[in-house]
Amino acid sequence: MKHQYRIAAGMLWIAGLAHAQLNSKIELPKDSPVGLLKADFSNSSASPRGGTNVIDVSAVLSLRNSSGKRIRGITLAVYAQDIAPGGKGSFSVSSLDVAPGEVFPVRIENRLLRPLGSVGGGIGPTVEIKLDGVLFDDLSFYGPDTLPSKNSLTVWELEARRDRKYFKGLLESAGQEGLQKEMIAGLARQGDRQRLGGQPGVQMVRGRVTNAEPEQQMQFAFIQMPDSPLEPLTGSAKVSSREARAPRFSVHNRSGRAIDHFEIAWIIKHQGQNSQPMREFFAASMPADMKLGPNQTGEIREDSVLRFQEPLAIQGITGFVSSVAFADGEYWVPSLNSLTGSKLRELLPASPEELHLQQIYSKRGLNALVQELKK
Amino acid sequence: MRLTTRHIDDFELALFASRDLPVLTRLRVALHVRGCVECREMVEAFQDGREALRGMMHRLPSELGESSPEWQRLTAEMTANIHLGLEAGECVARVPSARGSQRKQSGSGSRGSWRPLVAGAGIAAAAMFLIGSAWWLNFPNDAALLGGVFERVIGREPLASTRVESREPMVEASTKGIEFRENGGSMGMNLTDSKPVYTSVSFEGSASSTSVDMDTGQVTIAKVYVQ
Repeated sequence: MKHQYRIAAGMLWIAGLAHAQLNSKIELPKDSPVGLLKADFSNSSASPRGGTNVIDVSAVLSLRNSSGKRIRGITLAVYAQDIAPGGKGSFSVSSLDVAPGEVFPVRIENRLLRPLGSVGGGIGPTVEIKLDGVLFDDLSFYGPDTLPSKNSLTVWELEARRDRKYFKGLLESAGQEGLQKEMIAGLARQGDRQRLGGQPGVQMVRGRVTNAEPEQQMQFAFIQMPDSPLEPLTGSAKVSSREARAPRFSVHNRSGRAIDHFEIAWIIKHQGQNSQPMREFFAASMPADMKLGPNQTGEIREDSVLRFQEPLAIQGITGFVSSVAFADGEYWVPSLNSLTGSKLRELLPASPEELHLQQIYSKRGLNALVQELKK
Repeated sequence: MRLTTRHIDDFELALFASRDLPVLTRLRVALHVRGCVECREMVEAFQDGREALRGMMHRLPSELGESSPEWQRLTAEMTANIHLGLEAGECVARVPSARGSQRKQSGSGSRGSWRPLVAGAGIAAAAMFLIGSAWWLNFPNDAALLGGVFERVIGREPLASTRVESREPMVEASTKGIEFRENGGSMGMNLTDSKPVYTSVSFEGSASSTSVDMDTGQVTIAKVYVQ
């Protein structure tokens, strides 16, 4: 009888978890350039599944631009400390063009998993949303930038300007037919990547990992961009079929300006399974905060481990400089000519702006795209 | 040097590892374990498992802590039931001959002798279910650690080939979306309705996922970070 009471209590506890309410908290600074009009969490839900409690956070925030400038991008940080105390999330919207006073939505979709019976398991989790940064059309930035989001928002905006300029130029030089051809080529590149099974799953692990598999020191090949202010000189990583770790690079600032931050992108070449041809995919990016004066050379190292979900027969790693932030606040991103000339456009995902324009073309047609580019 | 050709049963090894065997049985098992590498490794694996579980005890809710009366009661109950199960197993092993002779003596009279055994097995099953439920409901889901222990115990894998997974927090990017994982809890993005156009990871300790709203064309870049 005693056992029956306990089992019944356990069942009631599980049933209680199914109805655990989500506690949400949205924090905007007093001088925030955006104001919260509405937060709709009504589609969020919680349900036990196996040994875990699954909490789907689905929210739409309606924000108003309360500043005097046009907003080009925004990042909101998401914290769920009672579920993932060592982690955090963020949602950024780029390619925006929100005039002062206008309202725009930010959609947040999160899935939180908590083992049943973990501390506080019967209480609804608290999800905190905070403003991390806003980028304006004059490239000025507002926000605590704790993630940090300023670099990302600025690079996306510069890529957006680059791509818009390219498509506008194409419309002028090759007309609507040329623009359409380029849109179809972009959609085909995206389709090709997905048809080939997309990119292999990758993980980033911080800290010690014991790997029993044999590994080799692999040297990087570099794609040199003629207009890049930073030149990678040498690079290597310890590579096995499961992971790549302990990368180190030597880089040279060949510009006449001091550099604060840069990113090196990794392309991994591996033998396809079952005698399939070689494949390459964009595996990771490696940002570095490093102060490099004009004509200075420096070395960077990383402790994190890039791990592959499936073992890969890696044949080579290629690196290239994907962005540079100067000490004076300006940024450099590769030109489309450099990306096309080095065939990186085939491998790299489209920029957020190109995705935005592709979606307008697919959903609303060529005329709508032409109108968008004339804005 | 092998003293016997047969290995010791796994649950006897488990009880030996936890010093729960009667003195004579313990001596017999100790003698075998000293000369049998496989059984010694098994005992070590059970001991490692106990240590690992002991290390994780502090994560249990306070009402189920190691020193709490509730946990002490559950431990005592579990040990008693394992003993009861072993004895019941021995009874069952002896039953064919005993039952055969009883049948010769009296047709239905043997039925009454099964009652204590069935009742004992029922109590044991109920207690194991309760303990299993307590485990399932209250234990952190540390798959990496437990997986390693169970692989060694169940699979009898050579220890050198066991891949030790990192227990550090990590982020993951796949065609399904991105996820941060830590101690059985996780925070994932784009794992529900909106399929990402692409995902990637960064050595800063983040994974990102880019998706496009089919209706508005708005591009959202979600990220998860290891703090």
